[in-house]
Amino acid sequence: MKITLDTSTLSRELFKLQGVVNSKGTMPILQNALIEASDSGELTLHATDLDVSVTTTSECEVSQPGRITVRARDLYDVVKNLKGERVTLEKEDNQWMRLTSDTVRVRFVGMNPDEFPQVQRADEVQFVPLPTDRFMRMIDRTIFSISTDEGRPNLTGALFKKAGADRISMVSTDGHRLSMISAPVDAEGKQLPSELEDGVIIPRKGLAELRRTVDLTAPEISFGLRGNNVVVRHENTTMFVRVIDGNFPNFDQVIPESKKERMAYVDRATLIDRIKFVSLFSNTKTHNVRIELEEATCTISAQDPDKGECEEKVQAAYDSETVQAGYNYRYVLDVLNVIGGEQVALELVDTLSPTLIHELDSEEGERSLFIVMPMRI
Amino acid sequence: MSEQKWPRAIFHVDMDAFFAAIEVRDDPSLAGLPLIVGGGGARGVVATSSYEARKFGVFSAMPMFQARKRCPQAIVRPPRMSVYAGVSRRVMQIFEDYSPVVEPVSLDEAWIDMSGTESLLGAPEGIARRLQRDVFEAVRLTCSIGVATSRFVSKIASDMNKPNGVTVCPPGGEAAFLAPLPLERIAGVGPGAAGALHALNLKTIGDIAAYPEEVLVARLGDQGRRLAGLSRGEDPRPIVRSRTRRSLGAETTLSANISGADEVRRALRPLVEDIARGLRSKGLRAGGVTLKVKFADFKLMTRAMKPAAPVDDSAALFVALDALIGRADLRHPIRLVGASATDLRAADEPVQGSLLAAPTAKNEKLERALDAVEQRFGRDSIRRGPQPGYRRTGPGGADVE
Repeated sequence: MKITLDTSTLSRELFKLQGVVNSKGTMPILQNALIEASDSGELTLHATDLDVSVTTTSECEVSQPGRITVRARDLYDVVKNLKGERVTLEKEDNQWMRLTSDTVRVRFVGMNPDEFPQVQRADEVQFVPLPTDRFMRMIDRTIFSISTDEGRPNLTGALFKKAGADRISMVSTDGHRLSMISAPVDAEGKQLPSELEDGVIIPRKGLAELRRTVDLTAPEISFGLRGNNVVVRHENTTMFVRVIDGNFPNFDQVIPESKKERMAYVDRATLIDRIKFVSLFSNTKTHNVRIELEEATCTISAQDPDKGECEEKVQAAYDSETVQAGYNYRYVLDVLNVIGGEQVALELVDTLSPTLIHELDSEEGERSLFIVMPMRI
Repeated sequence: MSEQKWPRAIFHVDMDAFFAAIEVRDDPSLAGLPLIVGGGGARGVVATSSYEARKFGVFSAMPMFQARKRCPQAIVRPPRMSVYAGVSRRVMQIFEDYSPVVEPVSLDEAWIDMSGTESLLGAPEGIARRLQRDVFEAVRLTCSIGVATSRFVSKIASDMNKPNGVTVCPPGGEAAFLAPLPLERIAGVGPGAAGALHALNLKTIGDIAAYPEEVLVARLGDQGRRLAGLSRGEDPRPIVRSRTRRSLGAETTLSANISGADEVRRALRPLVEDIARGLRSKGLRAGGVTLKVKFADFKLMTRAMKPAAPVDDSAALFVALDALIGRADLRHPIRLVGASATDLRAADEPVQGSLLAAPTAKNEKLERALDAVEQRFGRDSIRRGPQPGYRRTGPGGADVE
């Protein structure tokens, strides 16, 4: 194999593999990138940790087609520091690879490409398009409340599920809070994959990698399913994410019925700022902050036996009965920070029931809802 | 004041009606009223009471129904242990500003060894007054301090002049100081020992001091020797810095090496139940869980994780350990397994509510019920039946599933 291409292209494509290559695992070859050059002038880079796989394709000058595999991290560290505009990769004896660029010469120890895990093919996948920004909003609004508790693996990913005709939803919960968003999807007459009727659970790592690598300037991504993988394609990159085996809990029954008259409208930026301020006096272990709604006022307070107490009142459009509850303030901030709109609507049912946080001014056709469970004091 | 040489200067500091005083401090409308802090319910007991309530004969550890009978007008407040613990930490910090050797007895009581500080801080009585003032300025609560040359005498002294008192027993004055006090004031003298002493016609501590020591030893053995010494004010026991509990664990060295995740799980199961029971009996929850494995070659491995919410039942602890076991390489022979609960918090700290019923919620209820049975009928009066993967040995050493 021998190829030549732009240094910047190779650097950009190698970046997309970095989150997937496994530096600590028991299989050394998973630290590698598989590099394939075809006689049609196409370069394919591939990396996998067996749960998430990334494949990117780009054009290059192929003098001799072939395959090699070298450590992805080392190759990226070299390429991103090259000064030369073009770079040449060439296979040597004994699986070594020679890199030359301008005045630089590097030789990498390689491994036998036949030992690299089977690369999945996306040829037969039925793809459905989704605007890139919409897909990113769905990830942003759910990824933070995915559970990190390995004792409950079915919560360590977000549920990706059909939500009525031509709508798709993403839901996550760690048992203390829940985030959900649904959005229209234009399937262009194609059926949504039938597995999405019940939904699939996409692990946090896969979503984090998608968020990191998706090219935000590209107008559209497309998604599909193949076996037990969700496949996401954007521009020249295809990502396979193995879904979590398990049942997502039936969350519909824990969502309290929303009532317009219970909603308190508060300026979102002010609320974020003032919760952060009052939280200086919250207990460092429990992060407890109390929110009380009374006519036209939202009172935020915190107290800690070692520090003291602090209270601040914020203006709110509210004229229902006085109600209060305590929260882990970080859970509330997580929601307020990720949603848009000048105002936010808080809906406290009572001291112990789930509290609803509504995103106002959502993007066209999107609907999101957040639930935070109060702390029992 | 004459220059006295203090061979040791031991302070015993006792906060005055600690829990009740905090309640009054935080709600001044309670000032001057009889106040009881304690558990409600039919079986609650008095944790503490204000001096006003004590006048009616209400004392700590008295059943609540009896306290209410003696003082029906008393206001009853549930204890806020996490608040009291916070105030206590602050107070203990102040003690530590005075001396590095502080031995807390409970939230509201501590010994401080102030020996050798006279040249630096002045006479003990002045130090005690300053300490009282510092405590009051920091937490708006009063305390009473006993100053003496030993643990025993300082503890007696702190109780002589409550509230907000300082009582000093100067070196050499111990025997005279103690002499008029009833001998029941000596810690460890219960009704039995008191009866034996009364039979010798001894009533006060002074009576004991004047009595021939050999006779006391002949009658009461080692206890007699101890009483004779204490009655003269002799108590050489040192003040020991004690650290607060940071974890609660259990481990077992196995009679034969084991290996593999299943066997580790089986060995851990009874340990986990003990830890969970220990947590609940101390009113604690664990914010972290640690797995400990020592291999046959004495290599030690520990793995730790934090459950989503603090836990105190064995199933939830076990779920956490199971996640750690799943991640560990346990193929080599193992000679010891252990587990510990770390990041301990008061169980009455605010607890994050659950949106979904935790898979271990049922077990939590079950274990609280088991605790109640054990409390009434004694340890091991009730046990879990065998569970899947949980072998026990039947008669004749046969495995029973």
